[in-house]
Amino acid sequence: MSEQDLAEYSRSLVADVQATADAEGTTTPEAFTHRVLFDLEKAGVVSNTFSAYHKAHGHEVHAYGIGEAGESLDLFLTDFHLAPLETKLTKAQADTSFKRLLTFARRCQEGLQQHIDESFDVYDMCEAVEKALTEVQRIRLFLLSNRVATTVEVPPTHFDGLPVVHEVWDLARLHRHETSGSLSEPIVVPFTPPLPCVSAPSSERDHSVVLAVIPGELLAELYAEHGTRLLELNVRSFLQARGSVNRGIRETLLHAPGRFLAYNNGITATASQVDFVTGPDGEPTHISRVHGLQIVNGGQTTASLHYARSRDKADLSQVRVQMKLTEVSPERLTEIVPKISEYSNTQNRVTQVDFSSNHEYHVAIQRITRSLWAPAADGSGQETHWFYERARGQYTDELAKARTPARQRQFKRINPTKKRFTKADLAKFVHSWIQLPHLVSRGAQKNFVEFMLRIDEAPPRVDIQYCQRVIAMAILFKAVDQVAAGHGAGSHKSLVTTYTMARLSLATEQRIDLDRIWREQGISAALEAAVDDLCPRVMEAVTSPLEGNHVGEWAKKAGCWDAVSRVRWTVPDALAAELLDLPLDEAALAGGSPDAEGAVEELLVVPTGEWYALERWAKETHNLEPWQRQLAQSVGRRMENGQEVPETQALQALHARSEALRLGFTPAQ
Amino acid sequence: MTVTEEDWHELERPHDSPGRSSRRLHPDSPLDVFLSVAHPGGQRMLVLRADARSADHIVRSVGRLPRAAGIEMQLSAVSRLEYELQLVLTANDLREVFNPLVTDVADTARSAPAAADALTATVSRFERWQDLLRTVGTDGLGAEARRGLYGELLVLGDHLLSTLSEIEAVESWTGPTGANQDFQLPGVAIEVKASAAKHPRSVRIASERQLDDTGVPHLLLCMMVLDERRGGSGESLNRRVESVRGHLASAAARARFDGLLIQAGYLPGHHDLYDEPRYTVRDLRFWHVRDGFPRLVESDLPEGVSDCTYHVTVSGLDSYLASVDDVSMLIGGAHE
Repeated sequence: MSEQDLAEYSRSLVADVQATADAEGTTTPEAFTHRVLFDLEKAGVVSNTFSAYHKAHGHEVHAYGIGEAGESLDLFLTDFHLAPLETKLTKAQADTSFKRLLTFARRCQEGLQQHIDESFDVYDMCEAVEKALTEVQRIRLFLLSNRVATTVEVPPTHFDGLPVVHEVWDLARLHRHETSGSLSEPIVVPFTPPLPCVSAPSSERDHSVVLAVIPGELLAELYAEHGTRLLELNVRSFLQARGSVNRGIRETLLHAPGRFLAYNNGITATASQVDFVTGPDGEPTHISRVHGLQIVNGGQTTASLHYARSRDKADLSQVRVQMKLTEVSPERLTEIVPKISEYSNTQNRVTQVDFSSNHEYHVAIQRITRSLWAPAADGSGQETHWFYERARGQYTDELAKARTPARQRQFKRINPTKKRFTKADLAKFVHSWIQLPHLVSRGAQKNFVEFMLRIDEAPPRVDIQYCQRVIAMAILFKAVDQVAAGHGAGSHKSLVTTYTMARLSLATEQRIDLDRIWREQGISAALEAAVDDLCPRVMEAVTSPLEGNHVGEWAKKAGCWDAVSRVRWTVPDALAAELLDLPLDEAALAGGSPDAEGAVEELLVVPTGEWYALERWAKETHNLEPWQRQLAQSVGRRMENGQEVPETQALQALHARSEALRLGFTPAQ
Repeated sequence: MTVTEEDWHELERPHDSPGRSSRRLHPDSPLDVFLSVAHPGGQRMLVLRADARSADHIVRSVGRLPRAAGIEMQLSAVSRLEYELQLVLTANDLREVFNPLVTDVADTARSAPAAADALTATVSRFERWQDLLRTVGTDGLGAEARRGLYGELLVLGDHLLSTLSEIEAVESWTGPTGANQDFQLPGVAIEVKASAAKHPRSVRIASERQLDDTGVPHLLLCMMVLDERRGGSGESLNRRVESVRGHLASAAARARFDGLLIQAGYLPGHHDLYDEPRYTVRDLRFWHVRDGFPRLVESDLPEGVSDCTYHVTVSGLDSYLASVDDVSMLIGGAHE
C-alpha cells in the first residue's frame, strides 16, 4: 500500500463522511462510526451494533454491540479528524481512549442509566451494557480512527474477571480492509520469549516446515482469544470432551500434565508468514512471530486445553504440545491444506465428507442460511433459522457459546434441532428432487461424493432463493418420510422416502411450488394426499427386487429407479392445480436473474416511511432490541437514498419487522 | 436574568414518575436552554439542547470535558439528530456557586450568534469557572486578589452606588467577568489598582487592552494605596462586602451582586477566611487616560506581539489627575 493511495483514501473518506453527515443531519464522528460499523458488520467482525454518543469527565463512548451468540460485549470509541494526515494517533491517545471506554463500562455497572433520561438513545445503551456485563464472557474495546496509529497492538487486560481485548481500527487498517476484501484480520501471534524450533529445509517454492514445542497455556489462550477463527481451515470443530480419545486428553491434563507431550500427537498448523530468530550459521533457531496462523489439525487438542483450563481450572504450566508449522503462501493454501489435514489424521479418522467443508458452495450456503429467517408457521410468531452444519459439530459448538441455560434455550428456540441439517443431508434432499434416488440409496458418504462431483462440474449459483428452495426440499423430504413411516416402510424407510420423492418429482415434472413450501414451512393438504397415494406403490416397487434378493442392493441400482419410474400413477387434480407452470430444475433453483435477491426484493415492497414508523413505534413501546430499531432506521434511510442494502441486513430488517408486526405494530395504510 | 433558589424549588417538587421538570430560559437563544431537575434523584441541571450538526465541532474537537469538583459537564446523544449538553450539580454544598455559574453560562449561550458557537462558548465558559474554583480551592483568594477585590468594592460602594441606581451600579461591575476594565458604563470605564506599598512609584498594567479607550468616551485609571494589617481599626473584606450589600435594597441587585462575588472567587464557604487582614485607605487617585497618557495600546504594537505587561510611573501624571467631582460627573453622565 503506497502513501499516495492512503492519502487519497483519507481525503475521499473525509469528504464522504462530511457529505453523509450533512445529508443525514448528524455529526461527522457519528457518520464515520456508522460507516465503519456497517463495514465491520458486513465482514462479520461485529454484530448487533447500536450507536449513541455519550461523554463525561473520564468516560466516552460512541457505540456498543453484542456478539452474535451474546458472548462478547463490544464498545466503540471514535477518533475522527477533518485533517487526519497532519497528526498520528499516538499510543498515549489510544490508551486514554480505551481507558475511557472501560470507565464507561464501570459506570454502567454502577447504575449510570439512572442518571440518563429514558427517552435518550444513551439510556438504551447504558441499560443494555449494564445487562450485558452480567452475561458476557469477554469485552472487546474498539478504537475507530481516520488517522494512522503509531502502534496498533495493545495487550489484553481484565475487567472484573472478564478478559478485555483492544482493537485499533485506524486509517491503514480500514484502507486495507476496504481494498483487499478479506473477511477478517489475519491472526498474528508474537512469541515472547521466542519459541525454540527446528527448521526443515524445503526444496519446494512457497512452503516450508518447522517443528516446535508450544506451551499448552499459550495454545489455550489462543483458542480463548480467537475461538473457531483459529480453526477456519480445520475439517472438524471440537467442543466437549467426548469419545475415548478426548476423555483421555482431559484425564492427562488433569492428572498427568507433564506427560501430555508424550501421550498427545500435537497440532498441525499453517501460517502465511513466519518470523524467525536465526543462529550464527543463518539457520532459524527460534520463532518470534507467526502471521495468519491456522490450526489445521489438532483443533480437538487445542479446544480441550482451553476448556480444561477454563472449566476444570486445570494447571497447564507443565503441559507442552508438539507443533508442526507449515509456512504456506496464500495462493497455495487451498491446495496444500486439505492434504496436510488428510495425511495428519490418525486419531479418529475424519470421513471423506468433511474434506469439502471449505468448498465455496458450502461456505455460501452457511453464510446465507445463518441470516435467513424461516417464516413462523406454528402460530407462535417466532421466526427461526435452519442451521446448516457445514463442519461437523458446529451446532453444539454454537450452543455451548450460549453459556447460560436461558441463552441456550433461546438459541434452540431460534435454531430448532429439527431444522438442523448437514452437508450429507443437503445432498440427499437435492438428489431426491433431481431424481437420483439410486445414488441416495448408496449411503450418505457415497451420495455426497457424487453430489460434489456434480457441483464441481456445474457449480450452481447460491443465493437466497436457492437456499430457500433447497430447504423447501428438506421440508418436502421430511414430510414424505413421515408418510412412508405411516405406511409401514420399516427398515426400508430411507429408501422408500427418496424414491417416493423422486417419483413425485418426475410425475410433476419438478413443478411443485417450492417457494410456497418455504413460505408455509410445510406441504399443502393436496400434496400430502398425493404423497399418501403414491407412497405404497413406490414402496411395492422398491421392495420387490427384479435382480437378486436384497432390497438394499437393489435400491442402489439404476434399474430400481427405472422400475419405480414406470410405476403407474397419475397426479391428482387437486395437486395438479397447485403446480407451477415451469419446472424448478437445477438451473432454475436460483433467483430468476442475478440482480433479483430474495430479501432485498421483499424489502423494496415495504414503503420507506414504514421503516421510520417502525423505529418510532419500537422506541415508544420499548419493543425490539435497540440495534434492531437502529437497523430499521438505517434501512429506511438507505432505501430513501437509493443505496444498496446488503442481503444480511435486509434479512435482519425483515425479521425485525415481522417481530414488530407480531408484537402489535400496525403500519399506517 | 439571575437564577435563584426559588427557581429550583418549584422544579424540585416531588414527582411520582422518573423524568425531568424543566423550565425554559432565554427563549431567544440560538439553542434550547432549560433549568431541569431530574426525578427521583433531584439533581439540578442546566440543559442545552441542539441539533447534531451544531454539536459536530464539540464532539470532534473537545478532548476532555471540564469538571469542577461537585459540578459536572456531560454531552449525550438524545438521538442521531439531537444532542444535549448538561451541567449537573453533583455536590449540594456548591449550590450557592451553581446558581451564578448557571446564570453566567446561560447568558454566554444566549449571546452567541448560532447554536454551534453557543455550545463551544459554553464549554469554554465552564472551563473558566473550573479554573476559578480550582484556584480558590480551600485557602481562598490570595493576598493580591483580596486587595484587588477590596479596592473594586470600595469604588463600587463609595463612587458608583452614591451616584447610580442600585442595579445600574452593580451591573457596571465587570471585574469578576474577565472584562478589560473593572467597571464599564456607557460614558466611562474605570480600571482599579490597589497597592499595599507605602509609596508606590508605579502602576502595573496587565495588558495592552487595559488602557485602551476604544469604544468608550472616557477611561479612568484609579490607584488606591491601602494600609494592610491584622487587627486595628481598618475594614475587613467581609465588612466591605456587608457594607455594599447593606446599600442594596433591591433583591435583584443583591442577587446579582452575590453572583459576581462568587465569580470573583469570594465563596460563601470561605467567609471565615476574610475577617483578616483589615484595610485602611491612605491615598486614592483617579487619572484621565487620554491622548498623551503614557500607555501601550493594541494599535501601537507590531504584528505578533500581544499580552504586554508593563508599568506606568505615577510621577509625571499630575496633568491627568481627575477630581472627585470629575469622577462623579463622568459616572453620572449616563443620565445626561
